[in-house]
Amino acid sequence: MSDVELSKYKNPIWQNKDNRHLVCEILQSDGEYALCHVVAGPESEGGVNKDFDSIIAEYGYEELDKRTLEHSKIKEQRLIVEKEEAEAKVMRMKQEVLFNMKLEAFESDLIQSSEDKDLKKLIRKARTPIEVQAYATILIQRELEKNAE
Amino acid sequence: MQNNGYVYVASVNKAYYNAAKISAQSLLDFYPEAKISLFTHAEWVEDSDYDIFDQIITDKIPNHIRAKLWALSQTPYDITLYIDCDTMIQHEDISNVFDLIGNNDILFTRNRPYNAQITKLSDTEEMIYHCGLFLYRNNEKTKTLMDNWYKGYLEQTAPDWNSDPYPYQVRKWDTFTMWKLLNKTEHGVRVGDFPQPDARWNFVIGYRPSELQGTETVIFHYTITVDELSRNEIYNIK
Repeated sequence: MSDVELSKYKNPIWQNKDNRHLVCEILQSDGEYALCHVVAGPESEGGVNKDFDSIIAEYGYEELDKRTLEHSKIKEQRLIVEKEEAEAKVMRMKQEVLFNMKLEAFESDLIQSSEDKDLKKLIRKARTPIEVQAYATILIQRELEKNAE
Repeated sequence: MQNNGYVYVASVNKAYYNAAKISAQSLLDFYPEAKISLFTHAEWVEDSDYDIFDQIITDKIPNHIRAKLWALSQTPYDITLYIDCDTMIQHEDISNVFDLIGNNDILFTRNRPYNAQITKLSDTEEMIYHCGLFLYRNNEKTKTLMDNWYKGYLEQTAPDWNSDPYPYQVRKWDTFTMWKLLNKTEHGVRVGDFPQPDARWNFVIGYRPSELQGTETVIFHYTITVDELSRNEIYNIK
């Protein structure tokens, strides 16, 4: 067993300073920390919360302000990263869809055997699925007309 | 007159061979006079492949995931564009690629850390070059570099290989072997970058469209899915 006494309150930050509302990890009887909301209510209402008073005594307003600012900066950064990751995922999916459509177009015998290099190039260069679809349709139609003659 | 051409290498899984044919066909759509060589296993070759490839080299091809490293020094061309099989050519500029080499012996495109599994090796060392597509001159220095690349990769994947001081995950990457050769050996090879925007010459799936800086993609580089690999024949040495 460790001789080090664990602090009762960990990582406190303001949730709403006007409402004297803190978010903090509090040591439980089983030795684990649990995330808790500590609310004393607006000062004008004179509410009392022992945990709130203890946290203020241990950390002070200035330190809590500093921690809250740091936390919101980290959170903001994380949101930016998450947004970038989500955008990258969507972009990659779009690229995959476009590429697979091109592959599928060239699996068509009519397209593959066509000697219409210009339209084949347009399919390969297409930037959107709708372009692939359109050029593939034109090419197939031309090949069918040619075969019917 | 210089004899320049394009090289594909397909080994181990037939999905790579199929992909090489698809890529080479797209190359011919934009550059019908292109000289293209394929290094692959004899058992996979079909007669119609000779409509696509000028040369199909099957002699002594190792059944190895990095057979490309073995094949590179045996290019039949003066200047070679090595292209991974999982690519599609999308622009006429592919015919001018050999002009880009200038005074260099080898040209690479750059890795994009946001789109790569690993590029950073330490605070000061980074694998900056993408090794799935590059342009190189056929001379003694580059041939030695390529042969050492294969040798180095075999050593790197041997059971007793020690990655220290680099992360163990570099082990499977031939990019690391090349990085080591370029940065830790006296190779004498003149190394350069593809002109900006280099991404148009090797636009890897996942790259941001802004990497193209308004230009058009010449080579699109995808990844063959695990599903596709599992559906295809694995080469067995008879």
